[in-house]
Amino acid sequence: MNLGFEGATVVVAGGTTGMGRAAPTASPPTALASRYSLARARTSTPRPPN
Amino acid sequence: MDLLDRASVDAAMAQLGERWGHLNALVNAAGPFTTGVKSFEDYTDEDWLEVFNGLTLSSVRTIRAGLPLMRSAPWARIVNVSAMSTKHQSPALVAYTAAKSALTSLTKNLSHSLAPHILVNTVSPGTFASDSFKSSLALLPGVDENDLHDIMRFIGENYDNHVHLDRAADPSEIGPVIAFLCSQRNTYTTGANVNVDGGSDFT
Repeated sequence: MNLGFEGATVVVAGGTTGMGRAAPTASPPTALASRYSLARARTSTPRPPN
Repeated sequence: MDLLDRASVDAAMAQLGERWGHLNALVNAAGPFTTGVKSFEDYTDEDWLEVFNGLTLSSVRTIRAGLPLMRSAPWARIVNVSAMSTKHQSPALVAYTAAKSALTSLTKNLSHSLAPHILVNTVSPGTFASDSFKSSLALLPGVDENDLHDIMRFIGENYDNHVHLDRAADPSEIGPVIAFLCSQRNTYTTGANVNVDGGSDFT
Protein backbone atom coordinates (compact mmCIF):
# COMPACT_ATOMS: atom_id res chain seq x y z
CA MET A 1 0.00 0.00 0.00
CA ASN A 2 1.43 3.33 -1.03
CA LEU A 3 0.79 5.81 1.76
CA GLY A 4 1.64 8.81 -0.37
CA PHE A 5 4.81 10.02 1.27
CA GLU A 6 6.40 10.90 -2.06
CA GLY A 7 8.07 14.28 -1.61
CA ALA A 8 6.73 14.67 1.91
CA THR A 9 8.70 16.42 4.60
CA VAL A 10 8.77 14.40 7.80
CA VAL A 11 10.04 15.15 11.29
CA VAL A 12 10.40 12.46 13.92
CA ALA A 13 11.11 14.04 17.30
CA GLY A 14 12.42 11.47 19.72
CA GLY A 15 15.52 9.71 20.90
CA THR A 16 16.83 9.60 17.36
CA THR A 17 15.34 12.90 16.28
CA GLY A 18 15.65 13.56 12.61
CA MET A 19 14.03 15.22 9.66
CA GLY A 20 14.04 14.66 5.98
CA ARG A 21 12.12 14.63 2.77
CA ALA A 22 10.95 11.45 1.15
CA ALA A 23 12.10 10.66 -2.34
CA PRO A 24 9.91 12.19 -5.03
CA THR A 25 9.39 8.76 -6.51
CA ALA A 26 6.87 6.28 -5.21
CA SER A 27 8.07 4.67 -2.01
CA PRO A 28 6.49 2.64 0.75
CA PRO A 29 6.49 4.03 4.27
CA THR A 30 9.33 1.79 5.29
CA ALA A 31 11.67 4.70 5.76
CA LEU A 32 9.42 6.28 8.33
CA ALA A 33 8.58 2.96 9.93
CA SER A 34 12.18 1.98 10.29
CA ARG A 35 13.01 5.48 11.45
CA TYR A 36 10.56 5.12 14.27
CA SER A 37 11.57 1.60 15.10
CA LEU A 38 15.03 2.93 15.73
CA ALA A 39 13.72 5.54 18.14
CA ARG A 40 14.71 4.95 21.69
CA ALA A 41 14.54 6.79 24.94
CA ARG A 42 17.23 9.41 25.14
CA THR A 43 17.74 8.67 28.79
CA SER A 44 16.29 5.86 30.77
CA THR A 45 16.81 4.91 34.40
CA PRO A 46 14.85 2.68 34.05
CA ARG A 47 12.50 2.98 31.13
CA PRO A 48 8.84 2.57 32.14
CA PRO A 49 6.92 -0.11 30.26
CA ASN A 50 4.47 2.37 28.75
CA MET B 1 17.49 19.60 17.67
CA ASP B 2 17.28 19.70 21.46
CA LEU B 3 13.64 19.13 22.31
CA LEU B 4 14.15 20.69 25.74
CA ASP B 5 15.23 24.01 24.23
CA ARG B 6 12.70 26.21 22.46
CA ALA B 7 15.35 28.13 20.56
CA SER B 8 16.85 24.91 19.24
CA VAL B 9 13.48 23.59 18.06
CA ASP B 10 12.58 26.92 16.47
CA ALA B 11 15.93 27.00 14.66
CA ALA B 12 15.51 23.45 13.38
CA MET B 13 12.05 24.17 12.01
CA ALA B 14 13.29 27.38 10.43
CA GLN B 15 16.05 25.41 8.73
CA LEU B 16 13.52 22.88 7.53
CA GLY B 17 11.36 25.67 6.14
CA GLU B 18 14.25 27.24 4.28
CA ARG B 19 15.26 23.92 2.79
CA TRP B 20 11.94 22.26 1.99
CA GLY B 21 9.29 24.93 2.45
CA HIS B 22 6.71 22.98 4.36
CA LEU B 23 6.15 20.16 6.85
CA ASN B 24 3.80 17.28 6.13
CA ALA B 25 4.24 14.83 8.98
CA LEU B 26 5.36 15.44 12.54
CA VAL B 27 5.82 12.53 14.95
CA ASN B 28 6.45 13.38 18.59
CA ALA B 29 8.05 10.37 20.23
CA ALA B 30 10.29 11.88 22.88
CA GLY B 31 10.74 9.68 25.89
CA PRO B 32 13.27 11.08 28.35
CA PHE B 33 12.71 9.77 31.81
CA THR B 34 15.66 10.76 33.90
CA THR B 35 13.91 10.74 37.25
CA GLY B 36 13.43 6.99 37.28
CA VAL B 37 10.50 5.09 38.69
CA LYS B 38 9.57 5.95 42.26
CA SER B 39 6.70 6.68 44.56
CA PHE B 40 4.67 9.88 44.55
CA GLU B 41 6.14 11.09 47.83
CA ASP B 42 9.66 10.89 46.44
CA TYR B 43 9.08 13.20 43.48
CA THR B 44 10.32 16.74 43.98
CA ASP B 45 8.97 19.76 42.14
CA GLU B 46 12.09 19.64 40.01
CA ASP B 47 11.37 16.02 39.11
CA TRP B 48 7.85 16.89 38.01
CA LEU B 49 9.03 19.81 35.92
CA GLU B 50 11.69 17.66 34.30
CA VAL B 51 9.23 14.93 33.36
CA PHE B 52 6.68 17.37 31.93
CA ASN B 53 9.41 19.26 30.13
CA GLY B 54 10.60 16.11 28.41
CA LEU B 55 7.35 14.33 27.73
CA THR B 56 4.85 17.15 27.19
CA LEU B 57 6.52 20.48 26.51
CA SER B 58 8.86 18.91 23.98
CA SER B 59 5.83 18.22 21.79
CA VAL B 60 4.40 21.67 22.44
CA ARG B 61 7.65 23.12 21.11
CA THR B 62 7.77 21.07 17.92
CA ILE B 63 4.10 21.59 17.11
CA ARG B 64 4.22 25.33 17.79
CA ALA B 65 7.34 25.80 15.71
CA GLY B 66 6.14 23.52 12.94
CA LEU B 67 2.62 24.87 12.69
CA PRO B 68 3.28 27.57 10.08
CA LEU B 69 5.05 25.01 7.92
CA MET B 70 2.16 22.55 8.29
CA ARG B 71 -0.49 25.17 7.58
CA SER B 72 1.24 26.02 4.33
CA ALA B 73 1.63 22.38 3.31
CA PRO B 74 -0.77 20.67 0.90
CA TRP B 75 -1.51 18.15 3.64
CA ALA B 76 -0.31 17.76 7.21
CA ARG B 77 -0.56 15.25 10.03
CA ILE B 78 0.67 15.08 13.62
CA VAL B 79 1.09 11.89 15.65
CA ASN B 80 1.90 12.13 19.33
CA VAL B 81 3.15 9.01 21.07
CA SER B 82 1.59 8.64 24.49
CA ALA B 83 1.40 5.46 26.59
CA MET B 84 -0.99 2.71 27.64
CA SER B 85 -0.15 3.51 31.26
CA THR B 86 -2.42 6.55 30.95
CA LYS B 87 -5.31 4.06 30.91
CA HIS B 88 -3.91 1.40 33.21
CA GLN B 89 -2.23 3.17 36.07
CA SER B 90 0.90 1.93 37.76
CA PRO B 91 1.75 3.73 41.03
CA ALA B 92 5.45 3.96 40.26
CA LEU B 93 4.79 5.66 36.94
CA VAL B 94 2.82 8.54 38.46
CA ALA B 95 4.82 11.37 36.91
CA TYR B 96 5.41 9.67 33.57
CA THR B 97 1.73 8.84 33.25
CA ALA B 98 0.59 12.32 34.20
CA ALA B 99 2.84 13.88 31.59
CA LYS B 100 1.73 11.43 28.90
CA SER B 101 -1.91 12.09 29.84
CA ALA B 102 -1.30 15.78 29.29
CA LEU B 103 0.09 14.95 25.87
CA THR B 104 -2.99 12.91 25.06
CA SER B 105 -5.20 15.81 26.12
CA LEU B 106 -3.16 18.23 24.05
CA THR B 107 -3.62 15.97 21.05
CA LYS B 108 -7.37 15.87 21.44
CA ASN B 109 -7.59 19.62 21.80
CA LEU B 110 -5.43 20.29 18.76
CA SER B 111 -7.41 17.82 16.66
CA HIS B 112 -10.28 20.23 17.13
CA SER B 113 -8.53 23.55 16.75
CA LEU B 114 -6.35 22.52 13.80
CA ALA B 115 -9.16 20.89 11.81
CA PRO B 116 -9.82 20.46 9.02
CA HIS B 117 -6.38 20.92 7.47
CA ILE B 118 -4.20 19.17 10.05
CA LEU B 119 -5.18 15.75 11.43
CA VAL B 120 -3.82 15.08 14.93
CA ASN B 121 -3.79 11.69 16.62
CA THR B 122 -2.38 9.85 19.61
CA VAL B 123 -0.76 6.44 19.47
CA SER B 124 -0.55 4.64 22.81
CA PRO B 125 1.98 1.83 22.85
CA GLY B 126 1.91 -0.93 25.40
CA THR B 127 5.02 -2.86 26.33
CA PHE B 128 7.64 -2.58 23.61
CA ALA B 129 10.97 -4.33 23.78
CA SER B 130 13.00 -1.30 22.84
CA ASP B 131 16.74 -1.39 23.26
CA SER B 132 16.54 0.94 26.24
CA PHE B 133 13.84 -1.11 27.95
CA LYS B 134 15.74 -4.31 27.29
CA SER B 135 18.84 -2.72 28.79
CA SER B 136 16.88 -1.96 31.93
CA LEU B 137 15.50 -5.49 32.06
CA ALA B 138 18.96 -6.96 31.61
CA LEU B 139 19.88 -5.56 35.01
CA LEU B 140 17.08 -7.47 36.69
CA PRO B 141 17.08 -11.13 37.73
CA GLY B 142 14.43 -13.55 36.56
CA VAL B 143 13.56 -12.13 33.17
CA ASP B 144 14.94 -12.80 29.72
CA GLU B 145 15.04 -9.42 28.00
CA ASN B 146 15.29 -11.10 24.58
CA ASP B 147 12.10 -13.14 25.00
CA LEU B 148 8.94 -11.15 24.22
CA HIS B 149 6.76 -13.62 26.11
CA ASP B 150 8.98 -13.57 29.17
CA ILE B 151 9.04 -9.78 29.16
CA MET B 152 5.26 -9.76 29.22
CA ARG B 153 5.20 -12.28 32.05
CA PHE B 154 7.49 -9.96 34.02
CA ILE B 155 5.30 -6.95 33.27
CA GLY B 156 2.20 -8.89 34.27
CA GLU B 157 3.70 -9.89 37.58
CA ASN B 158 5.12 -6.48 38.43
CA TYR B 159 2.67 -4.05 36.86
CA ASP B 160 -0.53 -6.14 36.72
CA ASN B 161 -0.59 -5.58 32.98
CA HIS B 162 -1.74 -8.55 30.90
CA VAL B 163 -2.47 -8.55 27.17
CA HIS B 164 -4.36 -10.90 24.89
CA LEU B 165 -1.37 -11.60 22.65
CA ASP B 166 0.61 -12.66 25.72
CA ARG B 167 3.84 -11.06 24.62
CA ALA B 168 5.60 -7.74 24.46
CA ALA B 169 5.97 -6.03 21.09
CA ASP B 170 8.96 -5.64 18.86
CA PRO B 171 9.63 -1.93 18.15
CA SER B 172 9.05 -2.55 14.44
CA GLU B 173 5.40 -3.24 15.17
CA ILE B 174 4.45 0.36 15.90
CA GLY B 175 6.04 2.09 12.91
CA PRO B 176 3.39 1.08 10.36
CA VAL B 177 0.59 2.37 12.61
CA ILE B 178 2.25 5.72 13.00
CA ALA B 179 3.11 5.83 9.31
CA PHE B 180 -0.51 5.36 8.32
CA LEU B 181 -1.86 7.97 10.73
CA CYS B 182 0.57 10.60 9.48
CA SER B 183 0.12 9.74 5.83
CA GLN B 184 -2.10 11.10 3.09
CA ARG B 185 -4.07 7.86 3.23
CA ASN B 186 -5.41 8.88 6.59
CA THR B 187 -8.18 11.26 5.57
CA TYR B 188 -10.81 10.89 8.31
CA THR B 189 -9.13 9.88 11.56
CA THR B 190 -8.32 12.75 13.89
CA GLY B 191 -8.45 13.11 17.66
CA ALA B 192 -8.19 9.35 18.04
CA ASN B 193 -6.13 7.51 20.63
CA VAL B 194 -4.97 4.34 18.92
CA ASN B 195 -3.82 1.51 21.16
CA VAL B 196 -0.91 -0.62 19.99
CA ASP B 197 -0.84 -2.79 23.06
CA GLY B 198 -1.45 -6.43 22.17
CA GLY B 199 -5.01 -6.27 23.44
CA SER B 200 -6.04 -5.50 26.97
CA ASP B 201 -9.28 -5.53 28.91
CA PHE B 202 -8.90 -2.01 30.23
CA THR B 203 -9.12 -0.44 26.79
